Amino acid sequence: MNAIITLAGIVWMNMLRRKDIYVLLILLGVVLVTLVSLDVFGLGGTSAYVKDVGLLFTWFFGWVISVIASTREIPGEEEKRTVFTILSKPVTRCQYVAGKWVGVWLVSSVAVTVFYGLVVGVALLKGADLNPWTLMQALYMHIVLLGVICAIGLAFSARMNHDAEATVTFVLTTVSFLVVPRVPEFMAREEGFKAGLLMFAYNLFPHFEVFDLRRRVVHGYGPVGAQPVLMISAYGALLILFFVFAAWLAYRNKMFARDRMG
Amino acid sequence: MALLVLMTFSASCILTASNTASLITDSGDTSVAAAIMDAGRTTLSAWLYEKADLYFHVGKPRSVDLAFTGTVFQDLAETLGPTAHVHREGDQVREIVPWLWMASRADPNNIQHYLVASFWLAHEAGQSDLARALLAEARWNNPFSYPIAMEDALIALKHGEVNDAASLLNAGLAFWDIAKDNESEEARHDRSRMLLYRALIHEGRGKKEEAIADLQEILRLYPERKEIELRISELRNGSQPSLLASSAWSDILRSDIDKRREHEGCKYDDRGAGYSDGYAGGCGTPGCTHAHH
Amino acid sequence: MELALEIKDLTVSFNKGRKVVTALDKVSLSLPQGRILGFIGPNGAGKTTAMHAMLGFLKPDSGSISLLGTDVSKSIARAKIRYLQENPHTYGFLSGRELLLATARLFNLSRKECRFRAKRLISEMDLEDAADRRISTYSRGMTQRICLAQALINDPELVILDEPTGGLDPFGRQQIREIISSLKNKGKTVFFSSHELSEVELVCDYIAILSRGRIVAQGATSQVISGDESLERFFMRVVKS
Repeated sequence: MNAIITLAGIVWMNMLRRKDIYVLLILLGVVLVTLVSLDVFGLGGTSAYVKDVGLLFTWFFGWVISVIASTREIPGEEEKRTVFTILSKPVTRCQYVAGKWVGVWLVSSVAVTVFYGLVVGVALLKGADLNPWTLMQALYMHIVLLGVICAIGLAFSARMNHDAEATVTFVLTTVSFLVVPRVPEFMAREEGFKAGLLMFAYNLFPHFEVFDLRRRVVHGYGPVGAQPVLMISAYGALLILFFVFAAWLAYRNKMFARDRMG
Repeated sequence: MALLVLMTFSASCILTASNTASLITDSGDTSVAAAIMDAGRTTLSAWLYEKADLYFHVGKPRSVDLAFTGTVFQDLAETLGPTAHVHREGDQVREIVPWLWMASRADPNNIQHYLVASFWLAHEAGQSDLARALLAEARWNNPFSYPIAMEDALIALKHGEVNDAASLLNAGLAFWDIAKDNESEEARHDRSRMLLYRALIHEGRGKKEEAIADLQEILRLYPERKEIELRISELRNGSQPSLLASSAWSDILRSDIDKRREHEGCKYDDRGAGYSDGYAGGCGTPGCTHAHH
Repeated sequence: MELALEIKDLTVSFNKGRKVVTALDKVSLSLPQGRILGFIGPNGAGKTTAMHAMLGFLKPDSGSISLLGTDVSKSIARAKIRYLQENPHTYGFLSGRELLLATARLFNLSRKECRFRAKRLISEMDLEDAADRRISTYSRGMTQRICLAQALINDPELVILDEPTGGLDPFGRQQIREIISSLKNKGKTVFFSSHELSEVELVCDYIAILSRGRIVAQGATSQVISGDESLERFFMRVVKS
């Protein structure tokens, strides 16, 4: 456990000292300030769109951070050869993968929590009504989803080179975000092979739509019951375990040929 | 995706501001870039408009045909979102306006967005001046659109700006003549509505012959409308131009607006490029049970 | 005398396109505990490959490697050894102190012990002034020293150093030599590769010469080099032959 925490700490320090998250935070701030200053037709009293656009950007930035952080950790270490420094210590490959996952998940979660804080602050300034419980549920579900995305990124990065695995992770998560929830709708217009393919994708890809509570937050609904939250948490945990396990399987016997590195 | 949306939106706005027509060469050919931008702008605008619809229905998305239902993921996703079909009312309606505003800016040639936005501004938010300013902008971008003139005329009439309304109805009827799609039932209905309002204005001003001419024009469109025939004969038989004309148009206006308010949330979806005034068309929003006639 | 390192018939090959390149060909080597072995050879002879195989980064085609009597693939073996790679690569975003503390924690040392060892090594490596600066701002010599400090934080029994003096100025090289000698005085075993034959001659008890993936000479320094012949001349002769 000590090794996992230490490795996660190194990932945390790395992200903390890079500029990525701060740039995204500033970008979000600029977007929110622009939204707040946007007094459409001088109507005033409109605030839902601030929450909506703010949360949209929070999701987008959270996705970018988690994919980028998770996909560059392992190849980055190999490229800079710091992996030798770590793996020559009494650290198992399992601890190494787990430490990386904990680190990138922690970083993504904290970044997203800060983004939520900013959105909530600006929305409150604009006079929005926010149900704190719904908001906390939404943040919790979002954090679980980030864990899944980080695990997917790590699983692909264990074997592929950085460019390839980052592309695959971006594509897979984009499909899970935008296409998978609409498969039943697309299938209504397709038949035969295409419909079969869509059905296959529907069952194969992770379903990110079940982690999305933004509509409840934006339109002022209360929190959802405990049962769906538990079910979604279990689904998220299952996905995380699956992909972290896959990452470990891919990494556990990986050999480092000197001339194939960096 | 959000960044892409933002970039497309910004680019669309810049291009729009600099005049969309400049994208099209004199020969009428469009460049690939212009075609892509145009498609992006239209898609973005449609997405923003969809957002307005989502807001109007307090977060419940439009129902769509599904190949299957009842999977665990569908059930869970449904549990997370609102399920009741309700509409925003009163002050809450203004929450949809920012999306309509953005939708109209993303695709200024889509008059539907202007019409819906101006309707809510004028009749729900009580901001007729803003609604008319928006319609003026819509006219600037779509100079020969009769629905815009008609919408503007109705708002002017509601506020007693009769001269303004008359000019706008004249313009609307002139634009109707040159409109491409004036063969449709919706277009005929719109024309009859403009003629009716103008006839009432003529009546109010004591211009009996002009009023009769407009009413006869309505009869040519809808020969079965006995009440129009009756009114023509009343006017011909020496009935004085009614002092109640303004009361009549107020009643008709109120009725028109009420019907539109009732159906507006559902009506957006099936307007397409053309324009109907709501009670002439069917409801395009599945799940909405409102009658339309 | 117990062996700190024992390599038997180690063969490692790579696929380069369609060709199979043998990097190490039946290499056998042993090093008793508490001694210093200089592992020398021309560029591309296979020194780093041999060290990577010793640390389990590469899977040998055949042969066996035992470090302190344990198979190197087991993490317990790595708890007693430390490795400093050629052109030390480390986390430039950490400060020197943070790097040492993080490394110490990987060895399950208590927080107090971590701090104590970090402080001691920073002092030994003469890095007090730079300890809280990011490593990315260090000179090459300072980076080499902090990496060496990191390699020594767990008080290892066997230290594997890959070109530890490469690119250092004479003062830096002298400092590293002193550290290696002090390790020997503490009874530690040191396995280091170098191009600096004079250094090897100065500090090593044993030498092993690797050429084209094969050991061409090995043994106690005094026995390998006979008479007045310098290590450099001997090296040139055996490698060329």
